[in-house]
Amino acid sequence: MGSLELTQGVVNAILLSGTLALVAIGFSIVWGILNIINIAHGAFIMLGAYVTYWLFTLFGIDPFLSIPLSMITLFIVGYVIQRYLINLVIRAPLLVTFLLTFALEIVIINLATFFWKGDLRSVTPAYSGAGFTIGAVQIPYVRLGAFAISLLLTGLLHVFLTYTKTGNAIRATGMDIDAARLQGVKIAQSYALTFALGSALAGAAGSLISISFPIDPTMGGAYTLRAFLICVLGGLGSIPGVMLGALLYAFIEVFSGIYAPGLKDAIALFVLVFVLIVRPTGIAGKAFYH
Amino acid sequence: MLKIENLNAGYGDVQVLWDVNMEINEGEVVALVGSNGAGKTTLLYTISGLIKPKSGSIKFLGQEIAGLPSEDIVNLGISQVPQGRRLFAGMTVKENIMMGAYHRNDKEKIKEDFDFVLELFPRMKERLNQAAGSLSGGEQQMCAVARGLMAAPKLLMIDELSLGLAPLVVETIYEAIERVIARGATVLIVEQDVLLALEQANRAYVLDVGKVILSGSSQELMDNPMIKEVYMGI
Ligand SMILES: Nc1ncnc2c1ncn2[C@@H]1O[C@H](COP(=O)(O)OP(=O)(O)OP(=O)(O)O)[C@@H](O)[C@H]1O
Ligand SMILES: [Mg+2]
Repeated sequence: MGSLELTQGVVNAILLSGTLALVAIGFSIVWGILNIINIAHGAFIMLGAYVTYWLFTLFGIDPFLSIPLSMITLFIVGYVIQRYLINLVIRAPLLVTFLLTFALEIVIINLATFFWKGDLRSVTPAYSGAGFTIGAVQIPYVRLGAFAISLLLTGLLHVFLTYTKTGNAIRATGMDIDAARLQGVKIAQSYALTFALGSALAGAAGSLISISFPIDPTMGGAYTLRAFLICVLGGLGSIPGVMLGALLYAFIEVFSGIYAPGLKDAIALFVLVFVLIVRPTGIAGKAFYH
Repeated sequence: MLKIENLNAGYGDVQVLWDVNMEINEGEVVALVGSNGAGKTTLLYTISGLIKPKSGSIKFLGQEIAGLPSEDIVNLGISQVPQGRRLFAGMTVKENIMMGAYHRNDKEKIKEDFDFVLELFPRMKERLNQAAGSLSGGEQQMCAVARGLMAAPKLLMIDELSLGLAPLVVETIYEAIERVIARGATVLIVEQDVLLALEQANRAYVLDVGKVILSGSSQELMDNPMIKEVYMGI
């Protein structure tokens, strides 16, 4: 393998890490604050992808422009699901919410398959295959755009959690729920908002994914697994942790694709075990929302 | 100001408080003492709405608050410095202190109160941007008291402030609290260290296995032979 291939691989990995960070960040805050491992996270990503697909296919709306709509849709879906379904078992052990979100995933995928069929679909704006080159390294516009938007949304989430009163209440809830209640935080509201935000970010990730990759109703499962691995790799509970985890995972994915196609997941799990042995709390350690 | 009548409360099937009666008047400093596991924290949690009472009444400024959600109770003016401090470890000192004012919207008054608590605890001023989890025990307690004060409470409840702290640090913090009391605050002080609590308070209640077994002025309790023997080891 030549140095060009290597450089291209590095660039691809970095670009991919942005989208993967966005895939994992919503999963991470829901896990960190609500202590729920949301198996349906990938299904929310799939829904976001379909929002963008339908808006593009039916109305010709540019996929990048449909991201806010995808986020709003998933925000509402997430809020309602948390408030009226997950809230019923909120203090339940991890296994109960695990099963509940697992069931939710199956329902969402079934409904999507029923209404939209199982076909692979693609969002293909005019600039789909276009890009530019630096030296001989190719940079597709859509990947660069996805990278930039992922960083932007991740940054906005950070600003929201750190600098707003509501964001601080969410972090406080994740750190000590009773202490948060003693300050007057309405926990049910904090939880619903967090879950809705996590879902909205999943929606954005789905929109971005739909621009670069074909989509179908079962696409989400692979992303739930990625989100999980990234959170454990990076360390639960911090945005920098998720970004580090996503970067590492993107390199594993891209380079195992070059050197050992088909072994991607095995290698990822191997690295995961290695990281956990060396640093049980993940690369960045356990941080701010826990 | 606060009137508790025949309060019964506990955790699930385990009843901890039995027919507790207690009263706190405006401007008073009242101590609640009792040994390990007597139910002091449980009583404070019930007043704050973290635990729903089984029966009985808690009236605050004439309004029944038993069973209200905790956010309503903070809103009405009861704040608590909980046992073990319960700071938000990953948040900065400033963020922790400001969480105390979470339910308030009076921006200017909040700023005033913020300046006041920093003046009470100058040490906090130097640590504002440090993670609360990285503070020493004494500093954490200062931060917790500062957070409790930021609620601008009509009634402030402080649970086991002295636990695990060096006497000198405890004294520093109580001096700050005395300044707050001098401004007319109403305070409920919970301590296992009976002498320490009685020194601060006008009146006191003694809780034993979930029941109020004794109450009276601090002086009366200090002179009480049973208290001397059981709680002060004299
Ligand atoms: N979450 C809980 N679930 C069940 N029982 C509890 C719980 N918390 C406390 N208890 C029990 O309730 C009783 C009273 O505890 P509480 O913490 O109110 O006592 P305390 O007077 O505050 O003691 P300390 O001085 O040690 O803080 C104890 O027997 C304790 O074991
Ligand atoms: Mg206690």
